[in-house]
Amino acid sequence: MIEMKHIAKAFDGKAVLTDFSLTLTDGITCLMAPSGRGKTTLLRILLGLETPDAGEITGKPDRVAVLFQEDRLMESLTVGMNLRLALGRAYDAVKAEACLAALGMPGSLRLTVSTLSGGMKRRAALARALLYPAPLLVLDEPFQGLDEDTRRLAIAAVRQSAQGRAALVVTHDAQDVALLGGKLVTLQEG
Amino acid sequence: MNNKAFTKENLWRVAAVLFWLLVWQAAAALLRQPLLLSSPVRVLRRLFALLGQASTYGALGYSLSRIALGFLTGFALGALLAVLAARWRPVEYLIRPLMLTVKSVPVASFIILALVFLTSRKLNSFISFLMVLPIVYGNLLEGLKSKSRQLDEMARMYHVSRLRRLICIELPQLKPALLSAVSLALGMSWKSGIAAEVIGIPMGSVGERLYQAKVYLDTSELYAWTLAILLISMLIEKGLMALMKGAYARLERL
Repeated sequence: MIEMKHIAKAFDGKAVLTDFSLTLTDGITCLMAPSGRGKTTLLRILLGLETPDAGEITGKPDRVAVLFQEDRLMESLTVGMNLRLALGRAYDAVKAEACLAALGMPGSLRLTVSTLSGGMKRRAALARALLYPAPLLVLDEPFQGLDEDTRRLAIAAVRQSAQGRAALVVTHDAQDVALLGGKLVTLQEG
Repeated sequence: MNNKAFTKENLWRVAAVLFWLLVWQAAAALLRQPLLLSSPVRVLRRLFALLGQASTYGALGYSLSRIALGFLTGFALGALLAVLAARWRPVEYLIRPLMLTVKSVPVASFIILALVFLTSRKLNSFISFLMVLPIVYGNLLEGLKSKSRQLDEMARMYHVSRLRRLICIELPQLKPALLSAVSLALGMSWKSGIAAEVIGIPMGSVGERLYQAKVYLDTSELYAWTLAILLISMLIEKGLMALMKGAYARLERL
């Protein structure tokens, strides 16, 4: 169980998060909030990339599988190389191919990232997070830029990958939340 | 670019070179003063004659080895300083005046100043080192500064090892800066190294041969050596760039 307790963060005197608490247990937790309400700051604090002004996080595992808002892939490398780079010894070409196939892009391990469409890059980055063996999965708007069919495939893949581990999925689409299931947390202003 | 367009562009390039060679030949024929302006045919003949002499290769070997030493040490120190400056801002402030001075002072001033404390045999290495240092430092520092923070964070989150980060994330991002630094620095080191030899006149160097040709008003030989210097500079640049691109391709497959 991962707990964020009374987290507060301000930038240049402007409060972004005030007294925010969240408990993550196994399964999916969806975080919904309009733009500019501190979702990214909250995730960065959870990931240890930002220090909160107040509050604490307990139970955070050493390894976190993360999909950032940006794809953060190496454009000059193939999809397979990107996966191998992140997964290291945990990389398994058969599992990687199966995961990509589940996301609607079979046979794409050898494709160079720079040649992919925006939606394919998003799914390649999502595959990286889903395949990474970590007790916590953090996905920031994982379905952005995906069409209806691939979105449904991606949601199914996320549901499957979240079994047996905690997953925090940030989205602003109520339909995604309904399809993902799990808990819903909303972030109010401040 | 398709093959047809590529061939057409190459034809234009060759035609442009031929045009200027013809202009040169015509000017030499009109002037009829080989001492002032040697014709391209005479220069080519002299160049082939030079290629048949063992001393030519001795001079080229002498100059190339010493200039390469200056290039490599300048490259290594420039890269090291760029890494330090990118990591610690005070280092960048400390180094900046030094690099600005090296870039702004004319190379001839450095050559004459260096002759006060260096023998002429060490001059070409030192001057090419000095010319390469700010080019490599400046290019690599810019490259390091424009590195993606987002990819660094990704690597951190996924516990990517330091070696893999270097090979798969950092070096590919530095590729344009590195290639541009090598291309610029190579030309500068070769030209400035030869200039240092012409002023310092170390025995058995290309610079000495150029100086001798000038002293004896042997214009054809002067032009032939100049042409040889140009051709070698082009060959080294093309060769090294191909080598680096090949190394990058291999790195990306690791």
